Amino acid sequence: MPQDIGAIDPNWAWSTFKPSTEQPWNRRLAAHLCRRAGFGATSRELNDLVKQSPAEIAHAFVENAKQASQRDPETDSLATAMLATGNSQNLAAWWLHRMLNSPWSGGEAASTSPLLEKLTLFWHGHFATGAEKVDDAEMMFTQNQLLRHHALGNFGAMTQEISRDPAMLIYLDSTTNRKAHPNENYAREVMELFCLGEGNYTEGDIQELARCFSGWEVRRKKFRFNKYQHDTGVKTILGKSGKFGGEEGVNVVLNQKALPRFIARKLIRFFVFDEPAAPEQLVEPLARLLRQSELRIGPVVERILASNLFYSQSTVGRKVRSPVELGIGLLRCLHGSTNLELVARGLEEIGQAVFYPPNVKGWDGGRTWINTSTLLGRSNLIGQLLRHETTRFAGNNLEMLAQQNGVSASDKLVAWLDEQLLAVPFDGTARAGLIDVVETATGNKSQRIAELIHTMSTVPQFHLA
Amino acid sequence: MTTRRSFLTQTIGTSAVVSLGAAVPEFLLQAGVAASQPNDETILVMVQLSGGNDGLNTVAPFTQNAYRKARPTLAVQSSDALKIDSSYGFHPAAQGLSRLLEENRLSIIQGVGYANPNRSHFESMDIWHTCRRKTAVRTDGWLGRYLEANQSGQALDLPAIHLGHEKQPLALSSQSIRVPSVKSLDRFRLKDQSKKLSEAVTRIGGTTSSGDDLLGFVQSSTGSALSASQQIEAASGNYKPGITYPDSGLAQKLKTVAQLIDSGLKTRIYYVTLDGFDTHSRQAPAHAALLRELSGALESFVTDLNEHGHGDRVLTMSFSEFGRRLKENASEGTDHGAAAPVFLAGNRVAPGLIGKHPSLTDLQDGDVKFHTNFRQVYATILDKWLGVESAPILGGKFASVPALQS
Amino acid sequence: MTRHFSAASLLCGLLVTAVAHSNANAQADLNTDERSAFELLPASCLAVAQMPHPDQLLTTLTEHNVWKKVQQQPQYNEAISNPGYMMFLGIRTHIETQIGMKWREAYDTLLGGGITIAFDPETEGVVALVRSADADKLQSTANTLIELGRADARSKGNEPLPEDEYREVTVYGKNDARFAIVGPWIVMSNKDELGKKVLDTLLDGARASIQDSDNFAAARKSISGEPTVWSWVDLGTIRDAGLAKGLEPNRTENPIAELLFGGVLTNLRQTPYVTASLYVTGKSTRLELSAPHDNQWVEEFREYWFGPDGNGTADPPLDTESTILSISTYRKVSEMWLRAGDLFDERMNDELAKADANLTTFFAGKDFGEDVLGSFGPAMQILVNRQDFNDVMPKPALKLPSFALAGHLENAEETQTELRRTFQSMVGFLNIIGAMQGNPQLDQDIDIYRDNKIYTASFVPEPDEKESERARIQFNFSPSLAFAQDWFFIASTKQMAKDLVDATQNAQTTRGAASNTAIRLNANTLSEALDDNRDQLVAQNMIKKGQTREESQHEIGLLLESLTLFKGMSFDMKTTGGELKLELSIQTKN
Repeated sequence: MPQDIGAIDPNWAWSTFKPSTEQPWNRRLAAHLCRRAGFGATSRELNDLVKQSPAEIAHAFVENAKQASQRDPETDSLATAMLATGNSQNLAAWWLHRMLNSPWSGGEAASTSPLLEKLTLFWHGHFATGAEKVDDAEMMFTQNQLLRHHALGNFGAMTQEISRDPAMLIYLDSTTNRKAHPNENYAREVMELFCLGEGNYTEGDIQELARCFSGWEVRRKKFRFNKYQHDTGVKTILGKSGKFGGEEGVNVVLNQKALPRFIARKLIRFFVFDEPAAPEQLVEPLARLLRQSELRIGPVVERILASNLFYSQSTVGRKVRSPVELGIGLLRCLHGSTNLELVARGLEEIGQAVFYPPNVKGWDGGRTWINTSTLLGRSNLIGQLLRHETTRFAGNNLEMLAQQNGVSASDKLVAWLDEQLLAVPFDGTARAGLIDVVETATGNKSQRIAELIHTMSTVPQFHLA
Repeated sequence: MTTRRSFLTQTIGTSAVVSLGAAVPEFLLQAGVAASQPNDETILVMVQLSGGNDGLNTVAPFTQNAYRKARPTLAVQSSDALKIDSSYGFHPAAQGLSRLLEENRLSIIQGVGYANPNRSHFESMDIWHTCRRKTAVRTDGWLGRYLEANQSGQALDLPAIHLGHEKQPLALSSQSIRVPSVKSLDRFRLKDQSKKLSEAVTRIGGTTSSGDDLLGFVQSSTGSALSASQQIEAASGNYKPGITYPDSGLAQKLKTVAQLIDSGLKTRIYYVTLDGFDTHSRQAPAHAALLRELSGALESFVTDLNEHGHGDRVLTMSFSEFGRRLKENASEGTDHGAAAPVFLAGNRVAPGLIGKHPSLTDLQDGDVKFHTNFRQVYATILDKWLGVESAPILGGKFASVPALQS
Repeated sequence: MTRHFSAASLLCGLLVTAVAHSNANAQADLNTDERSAFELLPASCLAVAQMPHPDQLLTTLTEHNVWKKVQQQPQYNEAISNPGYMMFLGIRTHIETQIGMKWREAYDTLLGGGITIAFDPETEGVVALVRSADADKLQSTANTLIELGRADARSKGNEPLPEDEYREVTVYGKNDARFAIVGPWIVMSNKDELGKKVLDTLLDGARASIQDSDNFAAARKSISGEPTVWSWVDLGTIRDAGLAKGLEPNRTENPIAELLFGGVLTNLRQTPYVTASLYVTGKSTRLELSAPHDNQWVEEFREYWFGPDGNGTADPPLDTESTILSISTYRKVSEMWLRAGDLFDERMNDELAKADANLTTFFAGKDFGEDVLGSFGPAMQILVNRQDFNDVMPKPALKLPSFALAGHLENAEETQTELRRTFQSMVGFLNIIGAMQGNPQLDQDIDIYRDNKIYTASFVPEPDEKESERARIQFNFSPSLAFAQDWFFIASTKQMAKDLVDATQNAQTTRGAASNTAIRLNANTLSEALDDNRDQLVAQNMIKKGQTREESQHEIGLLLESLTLFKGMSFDMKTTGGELKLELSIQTKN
């Protein structure tokens, strides 16, 4: 039973989780961490993780992600090859490849990290920009690298850069911005969706901020400041006045008190639970931390991932898996590889095409992932992934995977999958039902295991992570 | 009314129910009850004719000299026309429309358009979709706004479905509701070993009892999804259309819509398109083929719905972004025009011609003038068919058109 | 690797099957039976396939260059050291010891006299006749193998192979799978009735056989060379019996199929028989389908396909050193377009009517079928060449081959002007679209090359893109239109247009009998063109299979390597000497 969220003590909530005999640090909890901080982990990775403490791991995850975020994106030759086709849909497959193949272990060689990709996906939904309208894979890639670069860094720097990002400006119709008719679209989203949230600004503030952006244009896919079209007059935004330019205007917004709360709330919803909305007293400590660390995201994420609340019953199994978490997660956990264009198309059908968010608000998440069509689509997609000709597990097949992990017997197999894939364990009856599925299934061993996993992932409990 | 038990027998098979005994999962029972409730909400099916359908050759004023003179090669001859009355007749290829009219299931609203008509395909289509001109912000469409105004708390079925490969029509866009574009029925059906899978899922997924609201939501959604899948599977397996649909693209799309309606989905808006009406040259054979496709598909669809008992609750509307110029051009084709007729098909239409045929002598830039604003047609559908207040959706109050039975 | 393994196990399986089907009851006087398999097949058989020398085929394959290359691959050694293969070798050795012959010797001895398979519509049965080179060895080997098989079945608790008797011949098996051994023959059939007929002929001598059929005799006579596998179908009888529903004159809904194979359908509706011959040699593998043909059979609406009096022939391909693929064909496309009503079903005609309206609009009111297509001569070619980017800047990241359509103009002077104008407005149209989408613009130019005009358009790079080695995909193209005498070329690049002008001036001789359609694929240039894009292929493979870079590099390496074993592929369709012939050939390197 979930606790009453309103009754949770904020001090306890964000203090470091210390495993105990009632709640020992084990593979199932480590799997929970990896599902939330990334896209799951293989059995071998879980074995390594249970040897360290949750706090050490949270710290290492954030450090690895930070290091990976500073690597030179030019070296990503897979991305360059995808860009050569000029198609943003291929770019989606590239990103999925990255999510699927990022190791948790980090180290010098790792240029990617699951947490970094997860956060990049978070920011992609936050600063949502759709490739359909931008219609240029190169620009989408540039924006994606921008988000990755700042994912754990300074939110202010990220917002300043995104304000000059050609893909964003095209998406929000701000390619031309004349002083006579300043375009309010971007100014509105900076306040409403990116930084403050509704109720923390007035229409007048939007109009004034829009004036700061006058003269900001996109020409030939690049940002350009046209000084002849800039309104040099005095603007008054959120109580501050001055002859602000765009950067100064954004700074005024970044200095608002409402901002750390707005971002902290969104991070809680992304990493901790979908519903209910976190009460103020739970948001405030993270907001304070964000302010103290001068809007750096890394410390807040680390605090969340190491916290009591994160490992509590209010959190475990209290999020609806997003399509990417579902599809990439399943493959990632079972050491799987498959045709990623197929995965990208499948994810689109069930409501999450990366690089193609539905609108400027990004994906709503939570219950909106679920309806008749997406539930059937989820089951069909997993069925297809499990049985597709290009799909391999542990470089081979499911039988080999089970063998490698020493779980050939049906009961062991079910228990092993349950621990890896489910947030809240199945009860005895359900497990018996699953054992029955694998034992009465037809075909060879791999086909029977595929049927088991297909059934498991169609059961309602599976959609909660 | 179906009992819980018989519902379960239909959807998951007798064996499962027997083996489940008394421990029938609650989530499935809830879905069962929901699915067994009578479904009598009205449904709107939009058929968009892209490219600008030649209204003057669809409903032809075959007696008028001005018509014959303006169209020396293209005019529908009075001997060929399928007579609506002594002065107007359908194009000879539109036999399906003619038969629908004889059955009192077709309403022809004449002279529909808007002031200062725009003759660009994209611009004019956007105006029809959003009810707004270029100068206004156009991020949502009229049907999208309708969907937003009518969100129920937890709709498990999709509020609207666009069926087809083309880009989703702007009419369905809204701020908060995402309408899926569906290419085939597979989106609503479990693919692999569906029966075995849903039986197993039912057995396993229902046994964890929980006071968890979020889990409860996913459980009841899963129940609805499995039941929809079973119904669609049953429907497509031995779906007996009341008529053999023609082998055309539009007819097959409408057949799919009929199956979805018959499967008990709660979706109220379906949207399909037929492209190719931009007949600038050699119009005669191309336009005949298009009208054959349109009228054959519409007739089959309406007949089929009646066979399955949905005839009274489905209304189909067809429209195009504009009509075509009265005078034919030098390539035996016609150029972009303005006003044109809109068709409503279904059991509860007011059959026959609604409003006058636009005058062929009182032209504006060579085109017939509109007398009925397309927003009036929308208002009629919103107010009288879908049962919502049209003014907020259309951005003003528009008088309705007497095209539906009162 | 699994493929090599399964090929080997297939061979051995064949051996075991063949050997297992043996019998001690052979009729001694038949041991020297000299009859051909055809004399043993009932006259009611309407389809036959024969492999006269299975031993030779195996020799050709095992001594084949490709097979030798495969054996050099590390994967091959990996595969043959796998436990499954080891077990298979063990079993093979065991059998070899039991029958007293090495597997290869056994194969040659037991199948050496050829394999013949026939279909008999009367009994709806299939019969196979295998002739061994040595009746005594066949008998003893068969006995051994049947006993081995029965012992194995008993040890596993299965029913051992049952036997029965027919006219003192032991018949093994049951229901729809029985076989018997008589002298040097193994007779297998899925229908008792058919099997008995063949055994009767074997035991009693002369009965009406397919050998007596005129249709069959004519087909035998048409054989050229020594095919590895030869087969015959009595299409005339099958058609008359109403068993060939697919050939009944229905109008099709598929224009592409009609364009490619419509003429074949014309032939199949009339021709008495069809034969297929497969020739496997060290240098090539060739499949030849042929059927008697008479130009009288050609319907008026298919004249576009065969040409007047059936003499329509394609031009020799205008290929050059860099050509990857050439397709040269004879089709009077305009006639097909105008006769659509006779060729296609109603729905397709509706679709074509819509297309006609659009295309006529596009070509500024010119009738698409009559004026546009009508201005092209019937001999057409499509060519695909590898592009050389060595001295070109910017270089596109994705290096595509160039391609072109080549043909003749019926009314050169007048049509050239029309085509040029359409080309120019097309370029203008592309520029407008391109400008809206932020793509580079096309710059039009006229080039004089060997006294011929080339109208060309090339993409203008952005200043920072001029020296790029990873430029946009557009830089693969410089659409061009060229004329040389009555030739016209629509090419994706200016270089290709020039190459084609060169090719027409370097007079070529026709190679072999003129074809109606000739397709040539050059494995060498294909492999080079793929190699130009190796990085791209690796990336695609990573995405398509979700695997790591190393895995993908390995896989693409193997693919390109294996292409180098081949020379190319060709396809020809001809009507000569009263025959319609389709030839598909794959050439390997020596």
